[in-house]
Amino acid sequence: MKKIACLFLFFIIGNVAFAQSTFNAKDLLNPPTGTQQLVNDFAGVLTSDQKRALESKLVQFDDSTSTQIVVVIVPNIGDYEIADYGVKLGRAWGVGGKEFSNGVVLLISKDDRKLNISTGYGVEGALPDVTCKHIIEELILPNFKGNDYYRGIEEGTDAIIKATKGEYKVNAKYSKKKRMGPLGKIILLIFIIFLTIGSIKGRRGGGGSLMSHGGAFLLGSALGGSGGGGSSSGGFGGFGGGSFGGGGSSGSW
Amino acid sequence: MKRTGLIILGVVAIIVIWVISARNGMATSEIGINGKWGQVQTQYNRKAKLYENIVNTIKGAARNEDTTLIKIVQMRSRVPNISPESNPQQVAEADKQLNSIGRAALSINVESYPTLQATGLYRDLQAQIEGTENRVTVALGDWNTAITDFNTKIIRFPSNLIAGIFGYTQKKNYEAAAGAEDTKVDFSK
Repeated sequence: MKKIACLFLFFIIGNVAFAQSTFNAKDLLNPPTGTQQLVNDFAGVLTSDQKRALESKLVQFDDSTSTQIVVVIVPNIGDYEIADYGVKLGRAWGVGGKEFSNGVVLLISKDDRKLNISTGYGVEGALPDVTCKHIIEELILPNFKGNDYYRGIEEGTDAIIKATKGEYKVNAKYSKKKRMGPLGKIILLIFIIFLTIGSIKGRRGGGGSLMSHGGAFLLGSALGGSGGGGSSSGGFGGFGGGSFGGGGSSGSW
Repeated sequence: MKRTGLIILGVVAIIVIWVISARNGMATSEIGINGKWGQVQTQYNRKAKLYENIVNTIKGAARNEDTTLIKIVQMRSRVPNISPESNPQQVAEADKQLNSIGRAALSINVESYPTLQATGLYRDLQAQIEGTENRVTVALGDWNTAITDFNTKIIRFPSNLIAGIFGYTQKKNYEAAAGAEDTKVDFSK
């Protein structure tokens, strides 16, 4: 009996350990769900303080220049090539604005000991491949070799910020467009509720079922959206739909 | 009587609208392929230019060595061209040729000047080659996806009937030439 219990325990522990180690690189290549930040640590190499410090630095840069630098740390990238994965991730999430494609992805694959900087179409000029290479080899890799991930990322993102600083200016609409204020959300919600109630009433009188479906759907998505946005209050406002064409550089340590 | 006439008219109108939209969808899709092709061409030309510059750089450094110079001149004349009429197979072939030129140029470079490998110039060239390779790969991938989308569109029923009427045919996808992996520029040599 004890043996069985032991075995059972083993099984559970094994399962939990297994669940933690099965990170599927393909799952990340989906449109953003709203939980993504500018610093995404799936490999657990940063402390929460470090993560917060980096995040606030990058959010501030995003707010003041509209250039989005996203840091993604993953345990592994499966069968993908690191540069290919960087481009796919940047495109899937839509890092950077749609108009300028001014996004940068700093991708770090911990177990593969590889990293990549992918540049959006709009920052290829400010951040040419050679500059990416220099940032990787001179600033990031020496720190990574000494197992200081935070310092490597910190210095690397500082250099990216320095290179892309003057490239784009944020227009007045940017921060407004990105975040709908709480008042706007409430008004939208009330409007949708009215719409739904109205269409339900209408259906009683015959017809209008399509409307009620639409209204309910809208209600659901609005609630979902506001939930996602609320968790990052005052923080990152979401990706803009930028695209990538393979610019950047990679390295390994 | 008047009623059946209206119904027939309605059905005909719906069919006509559907045909027009299906036809336009295919046209848009085809234009999309051309746009993606433009990107392939841009990136390919970038790559060819880069390799030419590399060859020139080496030419400057290897001025006194006749054999090296001859090889380089031969290589320059072989930089392949692609055109919008190039079929995917020709593109693959041209890309392969270009890769081998780059590889040959670099191996001459390194063989003759072992110290060069340690310089910043060489490292920067590496970064540029890597970047340009990635860009060509991405552009080719996008082009391929656009072709696949188009092919899917015209093969599915019932839009394949429209495709037949307007003469749209399946386009060939890009396939990497056999042994394409071997032509990768190898920096370790």
